[in-house]
Amino acid sequence: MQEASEPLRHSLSRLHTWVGLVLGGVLFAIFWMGTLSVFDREIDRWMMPPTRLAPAPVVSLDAAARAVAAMAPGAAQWSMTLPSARTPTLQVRLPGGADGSVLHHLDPVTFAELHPAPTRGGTGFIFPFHFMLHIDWLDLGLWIVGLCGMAMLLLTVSGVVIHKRIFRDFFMFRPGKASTRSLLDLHTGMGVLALPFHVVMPLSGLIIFFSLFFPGTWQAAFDGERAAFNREVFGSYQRPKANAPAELGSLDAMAREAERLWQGGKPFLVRVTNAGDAASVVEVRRSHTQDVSMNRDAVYFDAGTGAVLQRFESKPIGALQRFIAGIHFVQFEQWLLRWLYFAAGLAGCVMIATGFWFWLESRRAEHAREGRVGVRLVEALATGSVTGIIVATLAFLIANRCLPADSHAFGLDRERLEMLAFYAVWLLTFGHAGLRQRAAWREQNAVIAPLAVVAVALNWLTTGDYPWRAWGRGVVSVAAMDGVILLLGAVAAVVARRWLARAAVARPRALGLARAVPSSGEG
Amino acid sequence: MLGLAAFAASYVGFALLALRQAPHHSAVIEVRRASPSPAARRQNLWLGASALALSFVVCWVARGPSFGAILWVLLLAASGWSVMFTLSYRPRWLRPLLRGAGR
Amino acid sequence: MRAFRVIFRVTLALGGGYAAAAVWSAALALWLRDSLGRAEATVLAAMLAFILFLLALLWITTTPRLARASIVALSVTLVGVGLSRWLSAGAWPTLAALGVGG
Repeated sequence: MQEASEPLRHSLSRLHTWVGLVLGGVLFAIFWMGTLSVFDREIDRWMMPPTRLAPAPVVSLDAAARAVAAMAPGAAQWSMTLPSARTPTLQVRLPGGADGSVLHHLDPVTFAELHPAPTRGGTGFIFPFHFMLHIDWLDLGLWIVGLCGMAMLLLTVSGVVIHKRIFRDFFMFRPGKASTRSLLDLHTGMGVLALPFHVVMPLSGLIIFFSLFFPGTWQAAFDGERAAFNREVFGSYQRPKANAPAELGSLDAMAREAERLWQGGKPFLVRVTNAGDAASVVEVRRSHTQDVSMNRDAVYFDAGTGAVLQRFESKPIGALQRFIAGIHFVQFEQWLLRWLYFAAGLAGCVMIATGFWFWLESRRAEHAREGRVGVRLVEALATGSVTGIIVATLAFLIANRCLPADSHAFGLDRERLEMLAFYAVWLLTFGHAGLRQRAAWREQNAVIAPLAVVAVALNWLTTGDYPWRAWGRGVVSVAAMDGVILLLGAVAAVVARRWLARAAVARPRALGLARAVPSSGEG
Repeated sequence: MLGLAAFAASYVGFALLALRQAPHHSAVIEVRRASPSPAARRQNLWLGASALALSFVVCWVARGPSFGAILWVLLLAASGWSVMFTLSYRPRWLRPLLRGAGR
Repeated sequence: MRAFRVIFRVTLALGGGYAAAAVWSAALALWLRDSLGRAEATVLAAMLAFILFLLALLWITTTPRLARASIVALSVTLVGVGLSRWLSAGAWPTLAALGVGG
């Protein structure tokens, strides 16, 4: 790959190009789904209309517990997640279903069960797609995303090193020049100005999964004792059943005690194990909405008496890992920050897309002349990965609004039918890109705008919630979601008209410029 | 509101730092191949850096140390892009900054 | 031949880099577990492992001579394995006597 005389910058440039080309498509998918995941719970509200409630706190946990007992009298384990501003329902997890547990949404005031049409939604499809690509087999999806995380770090470091005049070009964006110049300016601009974000996000994401990716570390330090590792690092408490019946004590009192121990930190989850037994344990977990950290703070109570059995809190370095995880998970309720994360994520998407386009435009003439297949292949894969996944996401949202609640087809339930819509459309975009080549960018961009309008219109038609009505009802998330969808459509329409029309005109110039691309270090 | 103030401070800070560079200076004063004077460059370095530091302080005051630091870093990105697009599409908007900071 | 060299280098970077980072992270966790406690040592060493892996990837993919990259990657990994074995076999008294460690 290198001869001894080639300078470091040249080899990093080739590394940057190759890693970008090979993994750029998957990286875009991870970035796109990750950006959407900032608002995964808001996407849930949009996709599950019965859960579009104005936020209201649960007045009494004991009343909630009685409602749960009425729903599932003999349940041995159950948990409830308290409503928050972003998820206004009381979410109760009860035993049952194919996976062992079923999530129920209850109204936090009346405890009536809400029945949204079955869907994975933002938290069940979009978010898991981001960190494991829905490839469950042997955790392969997690490992691929991990590889992409390391690749992103390589791309960022190499990108900085090969950028010869990084300070001179700091604010430089020349839209009027030849397309390769503008594309490169945009690519580096999106990257350099958000450099801390592009370094911290992949690194923090990897650190979340430290025990999966580097198991040798805990195996060595804990002599292979996995249970001890989980207990000491993440906190977990168990005790055997007493096999004697007993009543559940006051959850409200336990929650108050937990709040007192946490000096104001609020509970968000209550989990009961071995319910009805004398040795039953109630676990109360601390909310993530008030701090950066994804804390593992937990208080374990004796279910009958409410006495504190154990309190878990991370030690300093463990707390640092939780803080780093929190920077990635973004569960805190800080609206300006969350929108900025969203913007930075979108900038990352633009960075990846412009990276592809830059490579394509600067190689197009050469590959056509030499009859090489590279540009045609990369163009098809890149288009499907960029505009394709956006079109597929809109198809997912539209399917959510169109499919009847009791849908069943091809042996798939409604949840899987929505996912089928996503994957089928995504596959079609790859086929379309393979056939139409360069024109596919413009055509798929042109399709995004009408699809966005259709999605918002369907929301109105099927739920009656048009943007300012949702806002007026106190369900700001739905209004914001409609707004973002329409904005996305508008941007795609502008891109389709301006950039690509101009590129078609500039093609004769690009042919001549392909050889004279300025040496800013591209591979 | 404090968030807006922090954004404004970092926007001004970055704009001043950009004006130290000849291509951006030329674009704003609409004279080709103009360069800022060494005095102006020195002044803009101090003023620009101070504005960015002020933005950090406002973020800290507004949101505390952890959220404030994260907010500042992301606002730097947002304001950086804003300055970049201002320079590309509406450089004249930055003219008022020249008066205060010297040509 | 060139394609083979590329594939070899990528495999060496990914496999060798990962192995080196993993064993040195394990060794670090073992070295620190008496002074920090095994939970803290594990988390610290595992977080640093990603940095080690990144550095290894950068070096192996850019260093000019592939033969040297292979030898260094292999030796570093083997030394790391040896170190972890030695540390986990209760070699603490020896280290303490040397005045090394916590």
